[in-house]
Amino acid sequence: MEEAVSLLARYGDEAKVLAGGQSLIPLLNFRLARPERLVDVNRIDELAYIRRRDGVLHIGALTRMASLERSPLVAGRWPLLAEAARLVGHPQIRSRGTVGGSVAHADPAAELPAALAALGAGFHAASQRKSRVLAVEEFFITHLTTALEPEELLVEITVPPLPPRTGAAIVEHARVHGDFALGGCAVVVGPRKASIVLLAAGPTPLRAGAAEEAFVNGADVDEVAELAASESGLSGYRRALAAELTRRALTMATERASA
Amino acid sequence: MTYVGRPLPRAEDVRFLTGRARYLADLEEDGVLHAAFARSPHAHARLVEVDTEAAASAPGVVAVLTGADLAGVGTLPSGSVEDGVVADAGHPVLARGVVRYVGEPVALVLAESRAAAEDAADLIDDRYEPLEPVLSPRDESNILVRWSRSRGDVEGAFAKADRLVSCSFTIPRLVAAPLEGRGALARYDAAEDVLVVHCSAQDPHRPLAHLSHALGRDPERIRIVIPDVGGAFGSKGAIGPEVVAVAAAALRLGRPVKWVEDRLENFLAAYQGRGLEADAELAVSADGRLLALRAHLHADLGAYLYPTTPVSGHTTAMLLTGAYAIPAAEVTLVGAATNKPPTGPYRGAGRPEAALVIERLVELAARELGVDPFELRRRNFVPREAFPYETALGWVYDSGDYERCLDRALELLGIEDRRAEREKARAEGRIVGIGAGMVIERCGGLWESARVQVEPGGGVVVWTGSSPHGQGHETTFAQIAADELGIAPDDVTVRWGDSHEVPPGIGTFASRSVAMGGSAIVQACRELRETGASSVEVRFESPLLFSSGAYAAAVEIERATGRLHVLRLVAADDPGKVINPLLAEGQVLGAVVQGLGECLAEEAVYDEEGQPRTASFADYKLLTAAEIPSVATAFVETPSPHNPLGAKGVGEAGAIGTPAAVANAVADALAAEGLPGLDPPFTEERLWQALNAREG
Amino acid sequence: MKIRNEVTVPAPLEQTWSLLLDVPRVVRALPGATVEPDGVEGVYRGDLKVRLGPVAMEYEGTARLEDVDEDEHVASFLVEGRERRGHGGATATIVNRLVPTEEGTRLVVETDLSVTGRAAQLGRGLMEDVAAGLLDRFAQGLETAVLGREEEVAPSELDVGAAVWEPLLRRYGPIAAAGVGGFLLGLAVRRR
Repeated sequence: MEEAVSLLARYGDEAKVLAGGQSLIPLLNFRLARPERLVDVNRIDELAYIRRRDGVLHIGALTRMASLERSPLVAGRWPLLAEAARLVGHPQIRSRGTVGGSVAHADPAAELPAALAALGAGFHAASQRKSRVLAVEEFFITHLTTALEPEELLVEITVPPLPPRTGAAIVEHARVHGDFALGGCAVVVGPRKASIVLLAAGPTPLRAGAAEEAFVNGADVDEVAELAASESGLSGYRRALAAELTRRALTMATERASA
Repeated sequence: MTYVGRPLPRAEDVRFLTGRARYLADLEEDGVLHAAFARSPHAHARLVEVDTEAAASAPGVVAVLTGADLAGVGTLPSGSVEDGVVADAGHPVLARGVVRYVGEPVALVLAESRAAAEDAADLIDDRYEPLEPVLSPRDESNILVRWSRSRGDVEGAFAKADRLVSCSFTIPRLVAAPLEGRGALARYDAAEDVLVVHCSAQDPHRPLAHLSHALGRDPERIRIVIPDVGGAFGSKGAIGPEVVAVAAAALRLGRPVKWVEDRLENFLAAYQGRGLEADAELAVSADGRLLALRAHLHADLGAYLYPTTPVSGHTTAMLLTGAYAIPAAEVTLVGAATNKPPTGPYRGAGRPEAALVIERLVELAARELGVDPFELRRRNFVPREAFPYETALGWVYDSGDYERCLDRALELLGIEDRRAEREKARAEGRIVGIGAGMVIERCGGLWESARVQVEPGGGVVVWTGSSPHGQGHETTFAQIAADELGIAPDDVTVRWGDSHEVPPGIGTFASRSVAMGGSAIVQACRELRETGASSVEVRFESPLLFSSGAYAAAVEIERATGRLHVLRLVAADDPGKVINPLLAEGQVLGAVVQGLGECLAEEAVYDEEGQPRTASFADYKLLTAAEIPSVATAFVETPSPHNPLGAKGVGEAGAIGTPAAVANAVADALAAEGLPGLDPPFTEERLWQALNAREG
Repeated sequence: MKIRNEVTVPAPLEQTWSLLLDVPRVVRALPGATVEPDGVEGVYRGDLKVRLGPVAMEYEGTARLEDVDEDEHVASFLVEGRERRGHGGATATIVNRLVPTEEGTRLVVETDLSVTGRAAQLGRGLMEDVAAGLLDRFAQGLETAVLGREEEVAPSELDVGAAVWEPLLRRYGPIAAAGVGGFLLGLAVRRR
């Protein structure tokens, strides 16, 4: 890891980090991205782990999507993440793509960023000079853009424990299986608390704050879903889709919370 | 032991599945130069200047050629259509003076590696003055094809008809998307004075003829070799200008030149399928007889005419009466030039469009008359006693039993149960529909040859003018020869693809290989047996053949998301005698999947400036296995009288019947909501808009 | 593609109008932007490096003031760029209209943008958001210039980092800042 951050410090924005390559390689093939250098972090084994410590989930940035999908720890305590991972592309993509890569690529239609946003995750970045933790609101800036500086490497994602009687669900709609989502919603609900995050509804994962408040105040599912769709600023079909998927995710999450 | 009719697994699969196939990209040559093209970014523009200085001095670059450098090379031959007026619009090898679609090749870079060639192509300084693009096939400012036919008293029929049913259709362009893209490896053999071109193509004959025409080179001095081909679906029938450019470069530079296109090039420049707008009407009597058909077809031909470009529109026009004995018909076809890549045959090649039009009209007529759509069809089928049957438009259907196909399809569908389910579902507020589509597949025709040779060791070698690109000819032809000669298929070796070795032929397209290539083999084998010669070459000719079939579908539209679920799809196909049922079913299923793609997701989109919006698989959606419903297939075999096998063709039926059946099922579902039918693809957005258009 | 932006500047119309006609100052108002006159009256030359996350497109081109309607206070710019490596380009006709209001001057920017090449073919619908963000930034840049708040020393290099985004985040809030798009225009001095 020292070598990786020192290379990033040296080459700054001329370099791009290569992990699973599932998002970056297509951009290189299209010649839409032409970094001077690629810093290949695939062999930094110490960045691939899934651990629970003091109730908090620690995911190493280099953890493959497939590991997240299969992890019994994640399935037991943060099933939303396993469910989100299963929606990512196809198994082949998940065997190479990394959690850190998906998050750092920040495609607004990506499932993992939305799920992590709904869970209130923290994003740990390291550079030669410093380490820091970014909250969700600070981390995602816009399409394909995070607050990570050119010399920073995303090293870990932490997820706080979920209180008892919490339920979560993620639902999406894509034209064909494994395709980019046309719309989607990740929901975490608990006693007097709700996180509703829309994906493919704006330049970043979108927290539907007003909808969350309405839910906590006892509004019914349809009303909350409509509110979330309104907050997105989408119109027409995309808006209706956002409302429907939010409705489904809320219904599933509430059922799971009471189970 | 006979082999014809048995489901033998494919002999060629072993090499394909173990990675030992040799595709164009696998071929190596000493001293080869790699080719990359600079392509137009504009749909329509004056090409003012192409400055190749920076590119020519880039690392690894050996030469850069422009249209001016290849001024002596002619265009590819321009397509033609029987009884039609056609403009001369052959595709130039490299653009000169004007560019006519995004992706049109403008310059050719030859370098020591593909990467170096691509890097250098980016440095080519091409300057343009943009012009207004023409994008709609209804824009008649530049007509390339004009055709019309009128038979019977069309006007009288429309005047006295009790009911008229009309509909307009927009059938979008499709991308063939073969797994292996296009490519060529050209080498000049100076000792023999032969230009040798390995080409990923559907047969050696057409590349030979087209190259000879464009280069002005004696065909005897050209040799085409087809390696293993990873799919084509019609899109590799005519060679592109890139192949001509690469061949010309090999001749000029005296070094072999290799071009392997990448996926982006395939999306931009390979010719596309479909692309038709149609206005059609049916005159119907109160007792449910189809009296006459009138149609105006507007074909989106793209910027140039490949030899194959006019075929689809003409086929659509000729097949518009479908499976029905409609006594009078009038069809006009206008093929417009547009500033998009040229169109050409793609699995179905005009027949899916015809089926969609006539089958939608028939179900609209049934709804208009308040009659069961299957009853209406039966009342109007060409009856089984009427064959050979000449349609109003002039083709002679050789044989068929359309009633039996329909019966079989309805049996497979379980029509009574599906109707009961539909009742129940509608009572629950769900949006469901049932629809059907008859298939008429024009296939065979012209001629093919075969040479059969007995080897000293006792085996037999069959040289065929047909050329496989995934159909399994090595297996089916071996079965045919084995039966004729009383040996085992393992003793038969099938050879194809090298123009210097195979007998002359027409090619592999229009589902013709078994009927034509296979029959040539039958005749050659029979002559071999009769004469006792050790080698016989035969040319087999035949008029057109007509496969048929009935497809049916049950669908549901999810109200909240607009998503279309095809619940069940059935296919009852009559391809004449079935040589290998396993392979035949494979063909049906493969074509069904492509037909479903056309219904659910596929559409090549161009914006108002002619820029392609679906230039990668991120935007052009292909279905995955997860989207394919259960498909039940069955075969009816009404032999053709025109060849010793009694065979017709089966390769494209799935792509013809599926869109018609699904379109009718969607229309049935929407009709229950008081809404008209839609054009494909039936995407969730379109269905949702239709369902929600009334509100607000 | 047609894009519309509006911003209300707390300055009188004449002041805003005179800035609008001053191309170098308008361009300099954008972070990391400098221009050089082309030699031909009213024409300016530069490089345009547009970056969105890992995606980077580099254009070389010209910007010129085309139509000026002194009576109606409408000024049009024509910006034309070609990809430095590749066969695409972008052409934009940017029509700026000033309307006096109670709070100052409303600037309405209507852009007709045409993009060819890779960015158009492979953008997966990103182009609309990208262009919208760009024009939004441009409108805000004009506001900054009118209010005389340009930075003295502009960075000569493209930079998309937290340092640039924090002021935007604080000023406009996360939703608006996210809507601005992750761009920075760096028009660097070029020799031709």
